[in-house]
Amino acid sequence: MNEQKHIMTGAWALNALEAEEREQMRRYLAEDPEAAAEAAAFEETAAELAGSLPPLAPRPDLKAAVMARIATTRQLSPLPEEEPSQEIAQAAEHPDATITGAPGSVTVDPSSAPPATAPAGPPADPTTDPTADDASAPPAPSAQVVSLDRYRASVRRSRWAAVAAALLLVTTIAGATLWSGERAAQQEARASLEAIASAQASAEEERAMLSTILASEDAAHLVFPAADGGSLQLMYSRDQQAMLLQGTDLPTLPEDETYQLWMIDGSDIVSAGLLEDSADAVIHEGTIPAGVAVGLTIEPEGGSDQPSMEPIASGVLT
Amino acid sequence: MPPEHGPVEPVPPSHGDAALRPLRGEGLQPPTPAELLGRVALGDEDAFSHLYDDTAPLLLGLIRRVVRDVAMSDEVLQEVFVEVWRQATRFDAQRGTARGWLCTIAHRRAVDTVRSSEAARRRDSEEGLLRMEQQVVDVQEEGIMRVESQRVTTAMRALTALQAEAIRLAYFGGYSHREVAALLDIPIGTVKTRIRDGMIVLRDRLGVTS
Repeated sequence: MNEQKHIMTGAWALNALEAEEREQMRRYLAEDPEAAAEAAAFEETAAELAGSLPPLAPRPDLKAAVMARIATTRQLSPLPEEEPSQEIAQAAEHPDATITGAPGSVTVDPSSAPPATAPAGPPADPTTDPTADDASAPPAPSAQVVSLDRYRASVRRSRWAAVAAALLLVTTIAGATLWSGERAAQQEARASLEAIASAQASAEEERAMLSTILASEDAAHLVFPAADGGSLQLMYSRDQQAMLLQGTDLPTLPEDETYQLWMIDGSDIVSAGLLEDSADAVIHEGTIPAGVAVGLTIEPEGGSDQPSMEPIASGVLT
Repeated sequence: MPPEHGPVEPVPPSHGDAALRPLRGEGLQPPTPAELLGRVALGDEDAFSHLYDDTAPLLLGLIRRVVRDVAMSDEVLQEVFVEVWRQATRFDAQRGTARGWLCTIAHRRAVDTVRSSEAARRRDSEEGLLRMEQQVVDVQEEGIMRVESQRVTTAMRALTALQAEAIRLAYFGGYSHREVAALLDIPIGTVKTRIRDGMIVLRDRLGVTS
């Protein structure tokens, strides 16, 4: 025991040491458990002295300031050499953000949509804000980012299932014919494949688009409910500048009306194509700016230059 | 469990509450500061908010006593709670109480603040020493008047006058042992031993176990 140092436990606990002595003492306490225990007990004793003071209620705005500061302050690792455990604590603050729909607001976060190649789960990036809001978006029913499992289920239900199945067939057949050389079988298969594909107007393009989106890291699938039933479905990849839009279970329109899609970027509204049939799909190629909204309206046959009504379905691609 | 009220007394509900409490912190009793700190360590901002409500008045009382200046005390309180948030991951309930841990952080930050501002003032003012002596009288008077808790007051009475003054000047005044030595006009070594001897008496009187 170092008498000279041990005697400073009291001054240590009361923070009465100056910087240099304090550092010496800190090292001494790390080596001497007996002195460290005494110092710890003195700190508890000092807290008793603090408790004898009249408590003072802080100004209410101080708490708001503190809460705002901790929200942007990272906590220390419990053990300096084990940083990864901190990630768990961070992730706990950000529960699964794949379903972010809220009535009256459009909350879509493409970065939280799981990539097509990975299992559904919480987003990898803990800084993702799951409540991105865009007040400039047109009024519309809520939008949902659908988790990958639900997305797959919906693909199975939709006519895209045929496209996906056809894609798989093409791959399998192409692989098989490389070594079998049975041209007849190949042609037969291709015929049945075309029969499936011909159910769609621009099947080839859609198929290419679909496979591009499915293969991308940032594939996202959004569903915007429509005012009169049914919904507008979007599948897109910002990386690939590819988007497929499709109506699902939309009410059938009279002969002289058509569904029309719009890309709304602030005050700039551009037609994204017509849905002649209520289950038609539309392809959009090109950049998908952050915050751009997609809207669906009912227009006279042949479409309009600008929407003639508030969208019956819309949502923001944040 | 003795069957005081017979076997029909519903035991399961209280058992259920007890089981829920560590998880939800919503049992029959409010969560203790130690429980809250444990949740803060996991990044729980609600627990932190609760902890702030429970302990900020205690800590501000301590900080204001040391720092005096109202605006500076408010600033120190904020710094302290940001530190509490950052360091909650290092709090070990096995090694001490949450209150002890919180008071240690608050007191250290308060002392650091007065030392640096005092050093700045001393550089700026020839009257530094005079001002320091005026403050001493203040601290001594208030220390005697405001050590309100009966338990602490009683324990303080067991100290010698020199022990009590040295501890009050160091803890409530935020003075270093050198400053305490200058103020009481005794050798530095004596201050160290007086403080330690006094703390041993207080520790034993207040029933603090190490």
